[in-house]
Amino acid sequence: MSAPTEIGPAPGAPVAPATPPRVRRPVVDFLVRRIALGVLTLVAGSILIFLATNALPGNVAQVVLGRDATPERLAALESSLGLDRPLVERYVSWLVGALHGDLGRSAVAMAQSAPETSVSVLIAGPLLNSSVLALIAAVLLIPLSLAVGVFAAVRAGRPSDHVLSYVTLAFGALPEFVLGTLLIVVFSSWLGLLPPVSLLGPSETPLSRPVGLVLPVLTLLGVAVAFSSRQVRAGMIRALRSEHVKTARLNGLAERRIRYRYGLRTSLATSVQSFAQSIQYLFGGIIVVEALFTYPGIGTALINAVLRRDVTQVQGIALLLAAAYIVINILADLVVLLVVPKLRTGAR
Amino acid sequence: MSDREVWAAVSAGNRPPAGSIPAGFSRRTLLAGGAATLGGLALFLAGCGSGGGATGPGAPAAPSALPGGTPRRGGTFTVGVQSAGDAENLYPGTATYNPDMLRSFSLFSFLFYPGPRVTPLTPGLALSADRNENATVWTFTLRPGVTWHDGKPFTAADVAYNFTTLWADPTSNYSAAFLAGLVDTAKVKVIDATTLEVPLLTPVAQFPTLLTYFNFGVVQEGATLESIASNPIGTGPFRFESFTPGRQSVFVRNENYWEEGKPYVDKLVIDSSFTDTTALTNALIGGQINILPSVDLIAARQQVATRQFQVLQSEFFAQQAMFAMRVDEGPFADVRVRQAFRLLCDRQALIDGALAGFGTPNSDVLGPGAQYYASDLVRTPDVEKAKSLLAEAGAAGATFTLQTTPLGAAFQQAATLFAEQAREAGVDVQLEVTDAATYFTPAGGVYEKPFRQNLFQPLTGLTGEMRGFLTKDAPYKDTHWGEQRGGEAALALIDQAVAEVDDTKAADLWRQVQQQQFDEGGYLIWADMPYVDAAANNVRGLTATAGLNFNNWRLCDGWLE
Repeated sequence: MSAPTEIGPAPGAPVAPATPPRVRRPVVDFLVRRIALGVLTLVAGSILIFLATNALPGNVAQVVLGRDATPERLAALESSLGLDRPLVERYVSWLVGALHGDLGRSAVAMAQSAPETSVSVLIAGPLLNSSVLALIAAVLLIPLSLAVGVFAAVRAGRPSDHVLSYVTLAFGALPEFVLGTLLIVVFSSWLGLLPPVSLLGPSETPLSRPVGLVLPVLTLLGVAVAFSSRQVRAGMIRALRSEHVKTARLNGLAERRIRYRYGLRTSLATSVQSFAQSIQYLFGGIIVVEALFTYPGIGTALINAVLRRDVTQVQGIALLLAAAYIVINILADLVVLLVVPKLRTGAR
Repeated sequence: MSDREVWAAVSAGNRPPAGSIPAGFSRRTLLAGGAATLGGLALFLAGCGSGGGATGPGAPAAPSALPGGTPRRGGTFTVGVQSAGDAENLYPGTATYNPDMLRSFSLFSFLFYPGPRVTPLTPGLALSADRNENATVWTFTLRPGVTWHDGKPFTAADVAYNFTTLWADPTSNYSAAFLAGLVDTAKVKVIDATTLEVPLLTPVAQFPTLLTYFNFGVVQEGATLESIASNPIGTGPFRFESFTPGRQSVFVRNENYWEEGKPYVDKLVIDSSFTDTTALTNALIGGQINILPSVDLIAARQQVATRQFQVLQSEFFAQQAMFAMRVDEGPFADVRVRQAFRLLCDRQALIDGALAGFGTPNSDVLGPGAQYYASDLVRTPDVEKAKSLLAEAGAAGATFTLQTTPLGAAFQQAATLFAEQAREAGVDVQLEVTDAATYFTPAGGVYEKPFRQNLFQPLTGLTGEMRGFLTKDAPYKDTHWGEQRGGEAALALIDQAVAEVDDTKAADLWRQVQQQQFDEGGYLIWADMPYVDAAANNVRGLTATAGLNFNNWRLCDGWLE
């Protein structure tokens, strides 16, 4: 009788390589982890926003009453606005309200006995206007940056690439208000083609007067496209110089296929990161652009709220902007995760 | 060629093969080119800014009236003003910023208005005001045939309501201090529909001049802050249609306005979403607005050549720009220090530098255009005398801190120029900049800091000027006058002048009061400024006078060609 034979793989059959344990549902895990972190970051941010707003010199009662504030009037107004409660209590009640979608009541509106005092209602219109502006800029940003970046990368080292490099550097270095003023001078003063301000009535939407959107969008894009297109170009050049691209060329694949399938696709991860960065940068740019073009958005609302020391409105807007920032971060990383399989499978 | 082959060639000391290394664009070229671009850009923008107009003194002053002609009805005035955000409101008593004032004057009317040269006053809802022997009872004759926007007739009962309820209460009127302690509210009497008797607790010879102040718009009997916030009913040339604070208000013509035929335009849109003065000027040029009050002074100078819009300038200069020094304590408590500063200021240079020439030097006297104003008191600069006065007071090497704010040319620009003038005279003046939102609030040290600035519209009467700045309970006590040693006598002199009804005696008393301010007061009033406004090229009929922008905001006088 012979010893029992171990059942092993059949001779000639491929051996499965040893891999580390695979993450079961990588996308879901990622989302859960990042959203939890995002919420924590937002809470930490809200504390900072709250402290910073309340550290501004002069409280809203003093600013609203201005030169005519007597001690009795101040005390009465501060009490009706709840400013005499302790800081922690005010923060907690505000945060709890915010989680339910109630951003509190505008201190200035209350002091003026205005019919509408809810911050959520007051900033809904401006928020919509800014979202339209940001969305149009973001949507145009991606194809424009890709086009410019790919164009430059494919002609790397040639005169057209140098010109483009130079131009994008100049545009990227300009602050928004300089670029915006320049555009106003050219398109409004000289050519008379576009209005220098984007006034909108309270019941009008930005899309009802699209000509007022052109210059603000161009200003935002000018800087963002300059930055992103340079990233796209750099990533693509790096990809086009890699070994596997050389191999593909040697194997006789069409140049166009190589560019997009191997060059662009490979560099997409860094490109997506730079788009996310540009879009986040747009938020800061929006405040300046809105002031320059008198565009009635969230940036102008924030400026006015800070000037009037309207603490609840400043907190509400700042919290919304922080949340948007975090969401974009998560979305960008999610796109990268989907675009780069290596990150999902954990393969080396 | 492969990378390896290129590297082999280079390390062998040979020139790299042509085309293998990008040529010509070194980092040095890039940086130099970038700098050249930015430099060129800066020059280009500076060139755009100065735009070819005449600047500085000697350039022609603007007219005080737009072209006239036959008025045409119809069209919309769109006014652009700096935003005050959610602080904007419709009630005249709580108006503090420019958009509010314009709205108050459009929706409501006043008993009296400042005249074209401040005095005599222009009748509004009141046709005249007569006093008894010693100015303790005033009888107002009101304009007949005026109706409110809701159709109800305007009567003396409405005015009585304002006097007894709204104007007496500091929580519903920011300027209640002007009338505080004056009106015997319990005894205000309605004689008939157009006659009102207002008894005073203390004699005030110039009582009607106090009622021109912009917070005293007349509202309907029974109105409250809440009712006006949602549905303002006034007697003004325009009726309320809609209002979004910090954005825009829309008013329409009041067909029953008490000035026959006016206003000519159908609609008045006040756009207060602007946060930038350049954007305002651009919007006027671009046609998005057609009325721009208090236009940027440099832009006003330039348009003389470019003619992109029309500029109006009031003939009589009544706004006053001042530095204020505390007389009761601090570095300026010694009168010699105050006199020194008043002597070393070159007022014309400040006007030319900060106000683009729009102004005329004042000699530290409040109230141009007011009755009994001492226009013969003249201050001549004398830097040597100033230096010797400072040395006498033992303040020769001291440092003085001037608190200023970026609130326009009359503030920070003027402060910077003044500090330079002082430095040239060997006096050390440092600037402390506070942001515009808090400068006029307790948090910004208002009425506390010893050396600050202010800019004020005419108060139409010396009584008003005193009650605004110098009396014991004055709301704008920049200089704390009366709190210095011996100050009680000075305040008593003011009270005497306010109460004196005999013309000769009053003239003498007011002269004494002003002489005292000229000699020892705390205000360095460096300029009387005109109102400078702008309108699009197709606007007609508007004028500029000493009484607020566009002649007390009389947009009802204008039409579109």
